[in-house]
Amino acid sequence: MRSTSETMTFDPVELTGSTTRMFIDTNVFMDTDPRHKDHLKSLFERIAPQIESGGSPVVVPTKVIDELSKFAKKDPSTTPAAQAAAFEKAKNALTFLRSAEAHGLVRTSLGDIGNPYADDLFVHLFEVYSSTYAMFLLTNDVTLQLRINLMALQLNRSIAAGYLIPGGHVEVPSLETIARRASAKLRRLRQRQATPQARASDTLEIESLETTLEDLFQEVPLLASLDAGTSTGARPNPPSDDTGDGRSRRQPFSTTAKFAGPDEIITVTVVPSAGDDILVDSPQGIVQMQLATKLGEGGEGAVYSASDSHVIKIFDEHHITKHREAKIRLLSARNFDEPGICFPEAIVRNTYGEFVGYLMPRAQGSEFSKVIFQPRRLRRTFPDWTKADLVDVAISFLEKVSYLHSHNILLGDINPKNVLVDDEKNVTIIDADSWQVEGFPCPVGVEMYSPPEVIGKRFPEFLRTAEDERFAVATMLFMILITGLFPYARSGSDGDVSKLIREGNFALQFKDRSNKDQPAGKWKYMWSHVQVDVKSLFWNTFHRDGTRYSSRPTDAEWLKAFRNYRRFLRSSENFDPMSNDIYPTRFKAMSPATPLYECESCRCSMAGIWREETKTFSTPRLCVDCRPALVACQGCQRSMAPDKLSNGKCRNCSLPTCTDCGRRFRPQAPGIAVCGGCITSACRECGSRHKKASMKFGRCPTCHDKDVAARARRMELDRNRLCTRCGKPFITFGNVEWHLSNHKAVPTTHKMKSGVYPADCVPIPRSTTSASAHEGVAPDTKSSGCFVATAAFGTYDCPEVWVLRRWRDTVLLTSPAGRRFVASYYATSPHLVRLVGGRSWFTTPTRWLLRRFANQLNRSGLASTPYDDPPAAVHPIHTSSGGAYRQRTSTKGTH
Amino acid sequence: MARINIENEDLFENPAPRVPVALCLDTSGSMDGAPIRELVAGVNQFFDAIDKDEDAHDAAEICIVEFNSGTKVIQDFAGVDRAQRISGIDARGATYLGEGVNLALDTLETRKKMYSDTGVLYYQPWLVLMTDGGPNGSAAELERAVERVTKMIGDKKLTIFPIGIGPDADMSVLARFSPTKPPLRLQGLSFNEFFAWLSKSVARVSQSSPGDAPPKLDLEGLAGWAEL
Repeated sequence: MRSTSETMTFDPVELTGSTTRMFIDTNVFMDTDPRHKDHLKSLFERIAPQIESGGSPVVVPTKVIDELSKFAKKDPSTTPAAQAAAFEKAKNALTFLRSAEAHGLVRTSLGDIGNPYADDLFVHLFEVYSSTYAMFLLTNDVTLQLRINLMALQLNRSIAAGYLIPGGHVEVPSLETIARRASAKLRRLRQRQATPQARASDTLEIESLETTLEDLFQEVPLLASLDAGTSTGARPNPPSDDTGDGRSRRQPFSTTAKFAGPDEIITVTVVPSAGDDILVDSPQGIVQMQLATKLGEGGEGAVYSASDSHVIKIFDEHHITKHREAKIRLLSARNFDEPGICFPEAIVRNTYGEFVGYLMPRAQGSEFSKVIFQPRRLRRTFPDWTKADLVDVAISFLEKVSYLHSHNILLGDINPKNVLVDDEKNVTIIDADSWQVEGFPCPVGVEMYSPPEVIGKRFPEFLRTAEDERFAVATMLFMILITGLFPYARSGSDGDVSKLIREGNFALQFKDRSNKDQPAGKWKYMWSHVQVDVKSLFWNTFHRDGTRYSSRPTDAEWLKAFRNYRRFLRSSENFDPMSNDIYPTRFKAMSPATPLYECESCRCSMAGIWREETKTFSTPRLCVDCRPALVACQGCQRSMAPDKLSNGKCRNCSLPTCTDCGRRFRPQAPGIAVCGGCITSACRECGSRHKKASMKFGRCPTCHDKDVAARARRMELDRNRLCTRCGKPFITFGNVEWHLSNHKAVPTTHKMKSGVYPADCVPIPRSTTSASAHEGVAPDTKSSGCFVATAAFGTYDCPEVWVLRRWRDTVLLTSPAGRRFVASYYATSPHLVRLVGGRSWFTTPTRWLLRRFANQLNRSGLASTPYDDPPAAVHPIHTSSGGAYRQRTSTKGTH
Repeated sequence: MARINIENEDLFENPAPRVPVALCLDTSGSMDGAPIRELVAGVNQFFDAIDKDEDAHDAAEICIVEFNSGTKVIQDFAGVDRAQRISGIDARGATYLGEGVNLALDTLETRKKMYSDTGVLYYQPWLVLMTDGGPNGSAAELERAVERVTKMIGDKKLTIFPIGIGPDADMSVLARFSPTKPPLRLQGLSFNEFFAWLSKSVARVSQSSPGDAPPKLDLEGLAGWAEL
């Protein structure tokens, strides 16, 4: 193997021996560079004797003759001078070649196999025949030099491409030189591509240069260092080895190619059909064969059987286009061989050499749309499948898609008719000619799989982004798992898919995000059982409020999530057995603690429903389907279970109405026509009859008001009774009443049962007691009488005191001695009371003595009924006691 | 929530977007005899063709409304599995075309509401209107029907196929229902050809995605049975 910096020079005589073939490219004949003048002439002068004496004639393929003829026919007057000179050269060359062929120096009959480009033709010829001959190509085109010399390296064959140098010798530049020139050309073409001077062929040429340079750098890594800023440097995304299992890798396509412009239909002479001859043009060579049985027909053409393992797609005349041809060429050139992806393996041409279709592996399985996206058919086709099988399908799909993406191929038109699945869960991707490769867009698409940012654009007019593709991948994954449900299906829509996508209202419930637009049916159960991480990824991708709405998950993220889902399904974390079903019939159980049981009627599985209020699971007997439908009550129109109704009415509406107030009531016994509120009853105070509803505590309204007033009075302080200790009111009327009705002495001070005085009972200073006491009692003359008794009994009005007062007025005051006793008593007793009136050692025995005495008096005839002192009787000493006495006695009879 | 019956369950257990097709058929006295027999045969053949096509089978929902001196829903919207083949129709009476179209539109609205409530996707509905005469029902009803249809077509909410049967069909009235394309006159009684074409078109639509531009109906397919 030669070194990369070695330039080789050959004598052309060596290249025209019997086992050697020399070819000349069109551009050599049209070379107008004055420095190259006479090079061709010298060449033929040199080799003519050799050929004449039995060497091999120089090969100028028919394609080259065709190209020369095309140029020769052009009108030089309408073109720039440089081009006109080249056209002139072409004309001369044709004249020369005709005579040279007549002399046996040149062969032009080779290579008429209809390759549209002379470049490709040479490459193919060299590939096919280099095993037989040593071959040399004269060309000024650096791209072709690169391709041929690279092939020499790759296939280790005796082939080379070079140009003429003075004296008719030929030179093969070093690989370094070729690489440098090719890189420079690539840069020029890329620059020109962005300008109006760009030519339609540039894209193809750029593609070809990029690929070949890549291959060269792979073959000779040393050269890659020369190449800063061109092909490899221009690739922002060096491929990551996604497959990871040591499969052979192909170079990824460029991600920087610009949009190739609008596609154009290629008019072909004939579109072959079954029975017609075709040429299958693969990197391994060209094979002629007959088109066999038609297998099917689609919107773009028909598919024919090629062999047990391969099929041929032939486009119809509307779909034979430049973009399709370029894409098939790009894809088939790389020899992709990835199971489950129907890569084009060869271009198919008609017998005129025109592109009409391609050869690809035969796909296995059925379209997703026919087996997975329709519950009825999924059950029929794969009756034993579980959720895990769908997860496997999703993983298989992701693996294929991620392989394509790692080579910078976008599928573009991801839809359930382009993805197949077999009963081993292997997914196959078809429809390679619609893929987006480099500058060639995917011209078709299905709205359901188009992200909001793409909706409204025309598919053939732009290049999709990886982000666009991720939307389609996410949608497809969702529809695999939920078997055909469109992620944005929701109630309340008018069927406008693009609107649904633009809204981003993903309606299935996630965590606490309830959504009243959830689609009807069992979809919500399917969604509920999806493993939570996958669910979260879906929700965040599809819902406009999601975190991944505008930066959608990559293939790698999905693969991780779905592989984890598969692991989850087999693990103990998967506590609800129904999560394994493709079509669950209920929501997922909340936790491992959730009771799982069967509906009593249909035996379907049920899970307890968590009640936050009671912190328990409620377990209704019947499932929703078996629960009887709710019926509206004929009375109040509220919906309720039918067993709650009798004669069409709910319990409340079935009750009789009160004949009095008209309200419904529950009769305590049959035959009662009025409600409890309208029954009458006697007032416990006054005995009058009233409606129970108007009575309170058994009292009529009037008596109730009185009672309220009386109660209020009982709570009031008796301002006439003052604490003998502090001189302030201290006892309520109610308290006094109680003591009297229980024949107990009414307290005279604040003193409490415990014998302690409350803090606000401040004793009156002794020195002023008399005065203030007198002041306090002065207005009420009554309380100044019968001091001892009052102190002992705590009140001036009690039976004992009344008896004593009667005794005073009716007995004592009637005699002089008695009057004297009374006078002295009233003179001394206040002092005594002031000294010891609050002490129990005094009051208790005194009370006992007085009670005994009063009882004696009572028995002797003095009444114990209430007694009012005669006027001024409290101070009998200062008044006319006789008058008082008489007055008293005159009233006595009334008692 | 109202109880969902079996038919409705069918509705949302199938995730395929639907193509609702309303057949609004003239069964007036003039259709008696061969025309009505051929029409019934054509409709049944339509059902069979839809049944055979996998995509159309899941997508198509067909309703049949007849009009004569009154109007009647012969078959409410249903998938082809559930739809009954019609056995025979008595053709008699007048041609209440306006009333018939209004009933068909009402039936369509109800179905659309159901799609909407249950979250089922659907394509632009189709209305096939066939008559062999001129309308002689209420003029107000006819006006109302024309107004409703043209508005829906304008809003891209309906595709209509107005078909005249035989030489006496009032093509000018049919034309009023179809502002964008002229009505078609059936040659002789070639109902079979028409319905074969219709089922093919339904199949084609059901392969697309709702919301995609409505697929171009294969007008070349019309050449065999209709004259413009």
